[in-house]
Amino acid sequence: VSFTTPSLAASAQASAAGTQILMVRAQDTQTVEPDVDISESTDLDAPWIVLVWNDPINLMSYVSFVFQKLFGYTKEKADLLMLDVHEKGRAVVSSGPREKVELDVFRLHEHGLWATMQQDS
Amino acid sequence: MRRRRQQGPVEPVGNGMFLINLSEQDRATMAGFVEQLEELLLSDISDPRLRRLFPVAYHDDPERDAEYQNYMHDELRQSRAGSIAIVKEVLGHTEPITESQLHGFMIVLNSLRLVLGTLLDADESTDTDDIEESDPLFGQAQLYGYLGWLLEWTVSALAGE
Repeated sequence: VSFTTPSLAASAQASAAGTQILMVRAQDTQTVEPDVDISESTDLDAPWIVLVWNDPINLMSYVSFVFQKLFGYTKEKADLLMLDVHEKGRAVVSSGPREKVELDVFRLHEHGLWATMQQDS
Repeated sequence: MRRRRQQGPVEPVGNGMFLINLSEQDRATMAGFVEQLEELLLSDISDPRLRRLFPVAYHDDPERDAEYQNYMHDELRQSRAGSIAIVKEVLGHTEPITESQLHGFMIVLNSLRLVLGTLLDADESTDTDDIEESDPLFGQAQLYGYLGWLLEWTVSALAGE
């Protein structure tokens, strides 16, 4: 993303012409289901993990900042996790008991990240 | 050499406060888009434009996910509505805002961007400059690019960079 000032004019014009800018039907392409190998037998006591999946929309700087803010990670650690997500398609960003992990997923969703949880195998 | 952030649209002004340097016209335009997002959030959960705002939580367990969505979906909707209320207030004046308000601003910029990215079916190679003026999604593409620019500055200000 460039740091030169873009203009809101074109989007404003579309809007002034009566276009509801969000009122277009989204592409019918479905979100690709994560292809993940789930262990068949899960240990009830095994900890839960939060996975963040790569997505083409969220900015890298934004994703790293959210990791720092939500989990208190250093910039270095957050950047590494973000790069893992970007390059390997996903990364484990936190773990713990189910309730804690559900809250982590919720907070990541609040920030628009594509996060899911599963029991560690 | 001037520091880049002093020329940007989001500027730290000390004491944990920030200024959003947007023209009155851009503020009004943004406020209009934020209102559209607010309306969109009232749509049915199955609306494809909301796909990225309300993702699954349990990717390998539909039953648990249904249970999760049952009690978390409304909470997530309310959280988004709360951030939108903050942004509508912030765009309505030019006074310095708190870090927490700027954080809400960041979340809303990103939410709008997620909806537009879904509409545009954006991928990592999407360059909004390549979308022609004659394209029916030209306005959306321009806004998508604009929001990315504003979001970079917002993150950079919040991260203290």
